[in-house]
Parts: sequence; structure tokens; C-alpha cells
Amino acid sequence: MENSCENIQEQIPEFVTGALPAEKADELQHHISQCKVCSEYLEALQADDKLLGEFAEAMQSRVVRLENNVIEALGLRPSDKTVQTIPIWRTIMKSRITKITAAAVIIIAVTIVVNRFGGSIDGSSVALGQIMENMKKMPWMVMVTKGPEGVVAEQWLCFDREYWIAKTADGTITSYDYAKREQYKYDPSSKTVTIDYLSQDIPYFISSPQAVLESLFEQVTEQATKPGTEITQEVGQYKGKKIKIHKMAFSANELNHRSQLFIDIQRNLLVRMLGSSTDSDGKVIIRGELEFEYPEKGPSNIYDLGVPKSATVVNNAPHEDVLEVVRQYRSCRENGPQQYIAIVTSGMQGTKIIYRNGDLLRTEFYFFRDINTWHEKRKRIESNFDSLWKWWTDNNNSQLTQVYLSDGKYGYYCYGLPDKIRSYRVDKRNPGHEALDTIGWPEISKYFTPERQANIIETDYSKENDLVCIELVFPGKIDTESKVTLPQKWVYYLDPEIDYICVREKYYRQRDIAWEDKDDSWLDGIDPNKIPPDKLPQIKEVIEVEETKAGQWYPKRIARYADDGTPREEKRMIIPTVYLQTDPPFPDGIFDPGSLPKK
Amino acid sequence: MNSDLEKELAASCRNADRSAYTDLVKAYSGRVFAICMGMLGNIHDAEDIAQQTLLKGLTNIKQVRDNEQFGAWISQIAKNLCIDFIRRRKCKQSILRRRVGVGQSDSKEYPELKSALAKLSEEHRLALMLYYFDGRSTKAIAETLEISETAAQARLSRARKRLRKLLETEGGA
Repeated sequence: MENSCENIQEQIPEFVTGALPAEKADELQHHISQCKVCSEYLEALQADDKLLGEFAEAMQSRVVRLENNVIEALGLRPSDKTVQTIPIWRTIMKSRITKITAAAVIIIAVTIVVNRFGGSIDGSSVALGQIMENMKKMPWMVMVTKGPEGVVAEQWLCFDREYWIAKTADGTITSYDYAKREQYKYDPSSKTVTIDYLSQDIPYFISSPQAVLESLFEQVTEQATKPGTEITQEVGQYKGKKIKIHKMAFSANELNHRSQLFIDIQRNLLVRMLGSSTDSDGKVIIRGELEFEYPEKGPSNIYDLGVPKSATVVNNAPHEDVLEVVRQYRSCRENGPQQYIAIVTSGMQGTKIIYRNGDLLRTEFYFFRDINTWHEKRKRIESNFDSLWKWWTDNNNSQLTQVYLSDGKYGYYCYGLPDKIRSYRVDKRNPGHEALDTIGWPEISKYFTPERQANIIETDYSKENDLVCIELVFPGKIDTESKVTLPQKWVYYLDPEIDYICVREKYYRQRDIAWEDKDDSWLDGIDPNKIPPDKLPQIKEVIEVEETKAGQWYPKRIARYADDGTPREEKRMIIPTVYLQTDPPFPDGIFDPGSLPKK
Repeated sequence: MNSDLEKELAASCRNADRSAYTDLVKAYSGRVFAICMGMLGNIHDAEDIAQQTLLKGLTNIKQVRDNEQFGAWISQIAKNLCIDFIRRRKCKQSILRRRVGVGQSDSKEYPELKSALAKLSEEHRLALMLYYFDGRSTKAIAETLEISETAAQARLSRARKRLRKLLETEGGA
């Protein structure tokens, strides 16, 4: 048996990457189902794989920084306006669903067409936008990507149900249920279905069925503005339907590009996209095709798309009770006030002001020139939005140091104000989302991962106040240098009676929260200098709620303080507080990127 | 990356097409970073050398001969610069003693993993980094290390096993 285990463990690394031939994989799985040692080894290697993937993803920001530095150094772009447009193929290649779009290169050729038509060339941008809107109204849309060797991937999109499901040529099937926040992935090599919580933290182009489609249409390729483009339109037949074909040809980078869009005239829907690039000898360099269909019905789950019922299921998602509460909470969170001004006093350094109007968001950071004056003043200002706002709009003796503005599509950051202004722009943000945490709607589900357990619990506080309580625990760790990260815990108290507002959030970083034995003996023998001190629990508490005219509850005033046993009311220090006003009159031009501070 | 597209991009870079430069930087930054991280084992050094590599590669792009693959060329620059750097580092004993990769001014994330990666052999670390930073295929490993894909797969497997052992014995994950 030992010998056999040794053999099996030799093969596990290949199995983890899906490189093990099918028959060997079957043998291996058979063995693993009966052998605890090997099964644990497999789990460990799978965890390593995940860890390395996360690490690479975390390092991505450094790679982007590196790219920007190089681009800047080469003088390709002015330094104060680094536009971070990520070509679609690159984004796709880096995503978790890489294989879907193994033919992503092909999409470039195809999207060029879209951009040309979306531009001013034939003035048909409105027409194209209309086609996209029509596509969104269909019950289902299927997008089949074909490369030179046949079908590469099929993607099904259901806009109504907020569902996306895709199958790649290698048999991998992935589904995203945006409403339920569930992600299913079937790996054909290990015949395993993994269920995970679908994080909000995913790339824009896959963040909703609408975004998938819009990204396809929107992608801006710089090549598209090359001169000498020929555009023709003709009418033809495709699959028995009358169609209009937009043809475009242009040369760039010593290649001849040809692209075609097939539009179903009767339904005004895109049915096919073709793209090809040939070199000067007429040799085809890239050729690709996307076919679109609009069926009445689609797969309800991954099994409908061919996942065998016998596949092993690994469920990493939190318990259904937790998910149900989070669903309710999220729905209230996302449908909360869309128009507001929030004043966030941090007490010590300065103040942040958030303006939000739907997709538009502006955040300003002010530093006090004279903190003592503020503290003195503060005692005389009533603790409500109106008084603070009045003081704010009068002379407040503070300096604006940073502004962030999002116009719904781009985010503009300006910092180093007033003298050393630096600014940059980034693509695609979800602005409202960023501000929600500040105004009393923490993103509870952001950290739902298998190693971080989320549970519904009962505490004295939750029982006394009829609240639902979610506890999220991060275990403590000791690294190779014996440095200790203490266990951390978040406890969220939600009030179902007022739209699940998180009325209290308590954060702990203490040695005895979560370790195997729930005590701190795990720290025995560790150099005390390497153990960080326990931190007083930090509390964020909603101290005033209000209801909008539409009947939605929202936190109106939120305070933050450390829990040292003193009741909040008795604390002498000024407590950092958030004051919110819904449906306010906004200052003129506040959301206009043109009004941002300039050098 | 598709080698035809790569040729096309390199060709337009030689003709000083600015957008093509940008595309090349973005297409190869991952691989270049992986090579540097693999050879140097330290994120900060890797960033520095990767930046130098891309700058050197793009400012000297006219040296790329027709049909020569840009990927292979830029990988070679990265390797050379890393070797130079290691040589310089070896001269400075004080820096050498600073066990690469761990802590320092790095962010506090992934401490066990970073420590284990620093202890892996260069060969193994390089295979892992290329796999995770450049498209999750053994192709990138094979191309960069100029070995067959089978050999690349074998190397990757050995690297995984070794890493597991390190993570286990170091009291990590």
C-alpha cells in the first residue's frame, strides 16, 4: 500500500493542474477515495494552488504599476494622465475563466469593427447602441466563439435572471449566479464541481451579464483609428434570414484587417461577427468568429450543460442560513439612498465629504489647518448634518488635499493639493459601492472564503435587541519567522426590522478568538516580542436611523470608538462620526471632471 | 501570446507605433515579472529588474531581428539582468545575509508563502512563477526555459512538491 501511495502522490501535482491523463486521473481518484493520507495530500496541494493563484492576483497591482512606470518612462503618455485601459484580451486572459476566451485574440479583430462603427465613421453609433439594447431584452443570448480549430467556448447570458454560464472546449463549465452570488465550476479532469461564494470583487467585464456584453461592444482599441479605412454595407442572407452586413477593411501594422458584422434586419440583433487579419502575402494571421443566438430557454444550471450528475461536489460556500441573511442585507444595501451628501468627521485629522448622485460620486478629503480650533468649534456645533454642513460651507479653516471623482465610467484621482497636484484616471469603477462601507453598509460578504468561517450566532446583545448576528472569524497564524498574526473576528448585528441595517459592527483582534482549542496556548514558546498586543474591540455603531420618502431605512449617524467598557455617551474624546443627508441640493458642477483642481 | 500577433506588435514597435509599445509592455509585463521573481526570489528586486528589463527591451527594440520572437528576446534580457543583479548582490555580503524574499519592506501578505518561495531553488521558483504569472500553462515555462513542455510539466510538479514540503515543515499552511 505504501508503495502505491508513493506512486499516487507522484501524480497528484499533475492532477491538480489538470495535466494528468484521464485514465490515470480515474485511478488516482479511486485510490484517493479510499486513502486518507493521499486525500489529505491532494487537499494540501489544491490549497497551495489556490494560494499561489491568489498571490499572483495580489501581485497584479505591482505588475500594473510596473507597466505604468515603463509606459511613462518611455514617454508614451503624459505622466499626470495615465489612462489605464486594459485591452479586453488581456483582462480576459488573466481572469479565472481564462479558457473561455482562449480565442480572445480573435475578439480583438472582431471588436475593432465595433469600435469603428461605434465611432463617427458612418454615424451609426446610435444604431449600434440600439442593437446592444435589443440584445439585452432577449430572454437568453448565446455567444459561441470559434477559432481556426472549431468552437472554443460557448457562453450563455440571461439578463433577467442575472445568470452567466459558459463551457469551454476542454469541458470546463462555469456558472455565475449574480443574484444568488453563487459560483459553480466543473473541472472535467478531476470530475469535481466546486461551489464558491461569488465575490463582488471580480473584473468589470464579467461583473454582470450586461457588463459582459457592454465590454464586448465598448472595448477601445487604439488601432481602430488608423487612417485609410474602407467601410461598406450590403444586404445578404444568413441562416435563411435577411441581414445587413457592415464590412470594414483597414491596414495597420503591416497587416490587412477585415471585419464584418451581421445584423438581423427584422429583429435588429447582432447574429455574427467575423474578423481576420492577413499579411502582405495574403497569409491569414488571425481569424475568428462569434456567433450569436437568442433562444427562448437556456440551461438552469451546470448540469443542463453537461456536467455529469456523478461529479464530486465540493461546497465552499457559507451555510445557507448565512447566505439568506446576506442576500436580504445586500438587496437593502444596494437599493439604499442613491442621492446623498455624507460628512465624515474623523475627529483628529480632518474630514471627508462624500457626494453621491446615482453613478456619480465625488469624495473630498480636507485636513484641518488648526486642529484645536476645530475641537473648540466642534463643541458648539450641534451633532446633526445641517449644523455641520453650515459650518462646512462657511469658512472652515481647512485645506482640501484629495479629490476622487467618478463619472460612472472613469475614476479621477487628484491628490497632493494644493501645490503638488498629481492626478490620474482609471477605467471602470463602481463608485457607489466604494462609499457604502463608509456610510454604514459594510461589505459583509467580501471575505467569505473557505478558511474564514462565517456563522450566524446569538449573543446577549443580539437577543436583547432582536438582531441577527453574523460572526466572521479569521484564524490566527504564526509565520516562519515566528511572527504572530492574532486571530481576528468581525461581528455584525443586523436589524431585520429596519432594512437589515448593520446597527453595530464589532471588530476584535485578540489571542483567544479562534485557534484549534480556543485558547492561547498556541503562543507558548513564542518570543513575546513577536506577539502583537491585543487590541481593544473596535465598534462602529449606528446611533440614528432615518426613513426615506420611499420608505427605505438608512443609517443617518454612525459613530466609531474603541470598546474600553465606558459607555459611548460618556466618552470625552470626539468620536469619529458619519452624518448623512439624502436628496440634498448638490453644489453646481460638483460632478464635472472639468472642475477638478488642475496644475 | 500568439506569436503572429507578437511579430506584428514587435514590427510596429520598430516602426515606433506608440500604442504597440504599450501593448507589448502589457503583454509581457507578467512574464518578465515572473522571470525576475523566479530568479531573485524577492518582490522588490523583481519589480526593479523587471522595470529595467522592459525599458531596455523597448528602447533597444530595433535590435530584434525580423521573425525573431520578441518574447524570447525580452526573456533573455530579463535573465541577463537578473544574473548581473545576483552577481552584484553576491559581492555585498551584508545584502546576501538578508534572506531574500521574507518580510523586509514587503507588504505583510502571504508571509508563509513568500518565505517558502524564497527558500525554493531558483529552478523550482521560476517554474511556479511563470505558471502563475503567465497564463497558467506549461507553455510559458517551456518557452522561457527553452525546454520541452513535458519537461516543463515535470519541473512544475517537482516545484509543487518541494513547496508543499517547505510550507509543511516551516509551520505554515
